[in-house]
Amino acid sequence: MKPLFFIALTAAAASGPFFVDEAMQAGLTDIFYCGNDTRKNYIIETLGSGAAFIDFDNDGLLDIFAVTASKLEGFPNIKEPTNHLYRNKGNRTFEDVTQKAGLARTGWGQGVCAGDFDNDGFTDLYVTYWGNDILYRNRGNGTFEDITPNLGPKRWGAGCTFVDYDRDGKLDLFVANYIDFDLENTPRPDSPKACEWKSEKVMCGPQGLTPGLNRLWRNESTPGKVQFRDVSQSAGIEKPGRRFGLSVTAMDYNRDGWPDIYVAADSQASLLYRNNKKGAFDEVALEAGVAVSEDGREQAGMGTAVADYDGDGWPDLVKTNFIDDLPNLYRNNSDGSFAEDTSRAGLGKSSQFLGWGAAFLDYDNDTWPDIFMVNGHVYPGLKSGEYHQRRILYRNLGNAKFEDISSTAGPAVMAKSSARGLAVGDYDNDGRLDLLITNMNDRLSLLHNTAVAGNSLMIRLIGQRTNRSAIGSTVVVKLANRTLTGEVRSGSTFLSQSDLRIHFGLGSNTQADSIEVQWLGGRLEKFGPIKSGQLVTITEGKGITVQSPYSK
Amino acid sequence: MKSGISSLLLLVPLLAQDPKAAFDRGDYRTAIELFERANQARPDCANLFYVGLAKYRLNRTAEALISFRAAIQCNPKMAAAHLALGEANEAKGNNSEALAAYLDALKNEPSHPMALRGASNLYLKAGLHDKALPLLETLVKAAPKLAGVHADLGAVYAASGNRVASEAAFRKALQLEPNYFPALSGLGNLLARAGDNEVAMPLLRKAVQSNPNAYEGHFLLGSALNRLSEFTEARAEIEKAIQLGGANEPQVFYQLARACGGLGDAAQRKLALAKFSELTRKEKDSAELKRQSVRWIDEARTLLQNNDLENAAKRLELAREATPGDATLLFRLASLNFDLLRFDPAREYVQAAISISPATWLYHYLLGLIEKSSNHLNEAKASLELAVKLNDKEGGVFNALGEVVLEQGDRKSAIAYFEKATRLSPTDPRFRENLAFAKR
Repeated sequence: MKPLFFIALTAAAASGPFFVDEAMQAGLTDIFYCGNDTRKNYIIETLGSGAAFIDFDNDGLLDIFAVTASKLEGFPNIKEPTNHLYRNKGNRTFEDVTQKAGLARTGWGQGVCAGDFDNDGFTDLYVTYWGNDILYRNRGNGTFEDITPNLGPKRWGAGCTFVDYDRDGKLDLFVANYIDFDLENTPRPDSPKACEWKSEKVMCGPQGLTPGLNRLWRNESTPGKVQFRDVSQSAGIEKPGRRFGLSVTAMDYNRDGWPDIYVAADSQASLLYRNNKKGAFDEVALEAGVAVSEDGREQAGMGTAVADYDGDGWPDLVKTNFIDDLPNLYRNNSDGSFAEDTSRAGLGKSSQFLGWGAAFLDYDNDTWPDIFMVNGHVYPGLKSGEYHQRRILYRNLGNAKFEDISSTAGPAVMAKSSARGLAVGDYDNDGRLDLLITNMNDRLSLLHNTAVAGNSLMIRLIGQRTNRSAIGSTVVVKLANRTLTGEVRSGSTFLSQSDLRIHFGLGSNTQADSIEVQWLGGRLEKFGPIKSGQLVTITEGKGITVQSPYSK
Repeated sequence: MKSGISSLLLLVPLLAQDPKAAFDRGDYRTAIELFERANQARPDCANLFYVGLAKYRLNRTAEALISFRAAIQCNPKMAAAHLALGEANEAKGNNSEALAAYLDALKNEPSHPMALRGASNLYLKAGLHDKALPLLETLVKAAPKLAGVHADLGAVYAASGNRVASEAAFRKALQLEPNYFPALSGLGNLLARAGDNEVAMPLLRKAVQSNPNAYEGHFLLGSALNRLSEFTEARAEIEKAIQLGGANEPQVFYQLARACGGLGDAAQRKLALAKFSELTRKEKDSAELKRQSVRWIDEARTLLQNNDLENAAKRLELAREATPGDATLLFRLASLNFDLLRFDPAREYVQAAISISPATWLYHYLLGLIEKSSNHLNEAKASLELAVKLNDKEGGVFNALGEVVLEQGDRKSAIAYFEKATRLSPTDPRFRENLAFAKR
């Protein structure tokens, strides 16, 4: 039950526009491309690309890395676009440091995930491509180096996550490969073998094309030498066979202390790899209740997100799907299985959206994780189905139900685009979570959160025995009336990377009574009470090492 | 569906009183005889149509189809014949030919309610909601009092995500027929999925009461109960659904697994999930086989272009094994074997195609050519005459018929056939040469 005072507070928050698109003022003016925008001849033109909120220079401010795909017809009139790195200048504006950072790469970029795989204290990047993915090591001096190992044949990489699946303190890497795509032999909409959707000629796929194979790379680096080994077969990743894998989310869904991996698959059953603690995984999505819809249908899964939305301490899952379908809200039963609560929770009313990026965020700091989804069709110019679609903000009402409050959240939420990627982070360190959205063949959207919000606390973990990014570690915050749970996570959402810091809305509570950190390496540490309104850095084995008040 | 065809009688001018009286008495054999005799005395397209109807009543569906096709051949604008062809094909399981017939009827009468209903039903069966939608929107204007049409519209709107229109259409259906099962279950399911359980649950319960033997009602009620965590009742409803015909539907077993899971019955849940997986796999395998069949046909086409007839035939044979009921594929195989001078397999394939689709002139034409090449002149003649009956616009058929009767020594008929072939295809030198030869 929410305290009465806070109901009044958050009711006020929901009454007016509170997300404002500041991309232009912030200097995020570049266009990010993915194929032709008036007609998609091939499925590679439809995924768009992702973006990341990362603090690459450790100055305490979230920077932005955004990936671009390309165009099959090339760029005869402009220079071929590259990915971009924008450094946060601290005044809600960014400067483009792509060239200086060594990240000005062209190609058919798709997704990005972040993690400090060499444990040097600086966040590194993995960028997926239709072609060859790239592993970037952050040198710590504002530049990155491409240290991509031999990744085998060309693939179409989509979602990825750094995950220390064997808990050896080194981040491993999981990559979902979407389709073994053959441009030469895939029919176009203007060819005799064109595919149809609702009686209109469209690009073909994914059905009828060859699905990709997920890969797991074990980090076997030694001091001074980064190396990853493909363990997909021995770790059981290949066992379920090929899948049209898109987004990847690592989470300890059964709370056994070992990271599991969920892969949203397009037009097929999704996958849940349960960590068997012996260096391998068992695929258990069907028995866990997260493979198909509540009707038992395979769906076109796109983006995923994880949070404890009902406050029982167990991670729940949300997944976006294709148009004419509903998203999935899977509530964790706390017994190794999930129950689909989409309809009961109020997410069953809108099937006119084709969903991509999804995120849980407590936008109003009322302690209850809300849901944000971005949407956009894959077929431009059709009679049926809007290509540009609005975003959706579902407010968590605190009783396991959500309400679509998009129209009151502001024009930036109601704005229509063909959106794909979504990242969450507090880029102005004011304690309220902001949103970064990628839009196909358009500039980024940067939704600054101006909500009249409750108190909050942000926690940054630095691992020692655990991987330095502390990915996979969980934090439990105890309040007078609630217990909140968060996990440091790489990847997730859709092709994108959210802030590695964990944000907790505290509502009317001015402090967290206690904080428990369960490090992935095994150590459990307790702190508190801790006052709200600050960013707290906790270093494994060293306690609270930095406390910074929020910016005003 | 024969009562539907009977109602078509109203659409046809009563041109043959005596045979009609026999038909109305239910004396279909006599009616056939009288209609055929009347047609010989004074040809009339309606006679052919009535012959078809009478044969259809006698469950001689293949012959009925030929008669309907002959009636259409005689008068392409006879909507009743197109409709009858559609219904008879549908009864025979030839949904694609049935659909084509309904659409042909609609070309002549775009607002014909029965043709609209027939075509929209077939589109719905095939899951082609977008194609059914404009037909249903026209039909609802032509027949606004039919609850079934509103309910179908509701289902189509629901499938395309138009929840508001779907709800309105289902409610309209229920205004017209408060106990109409498809509307009760459709609206109940729509609202249950949206989380509006207070309204949804009574509707779903009423649906089960209105049609207790339909597995769909129990399945939807069980699914809604699962959403509400009322697992004991959910399980009972799902088990009823399985008994009543849902045993081959994977989704039913998924719901059973949900209910068993909710009840803590891990063993039954595991069994239900295993059954779900098995049925899902079967569906997938079947879909994949169809896709593979298309790929084999494509490969065969490429091989044919390279004159590799042997391997093309092998690919087509693989495709046939994957989709044995495909008349077009059987015809292609027959054609290929005919070109390879393998007349026995060619005959088998085309006869199989004819048994599926008896009123397709091309199949009879090919069978005629096969018999002619096998020197079975009587059989060839019969097949070619049937082909002409179904389509008298193809010069090639008349030419073949001329060649057959000429070999049989009937020069006069041969000349008539060659003249007809030449009239239809004046530029074809073979027909002219045959005519000249016959006249010498």
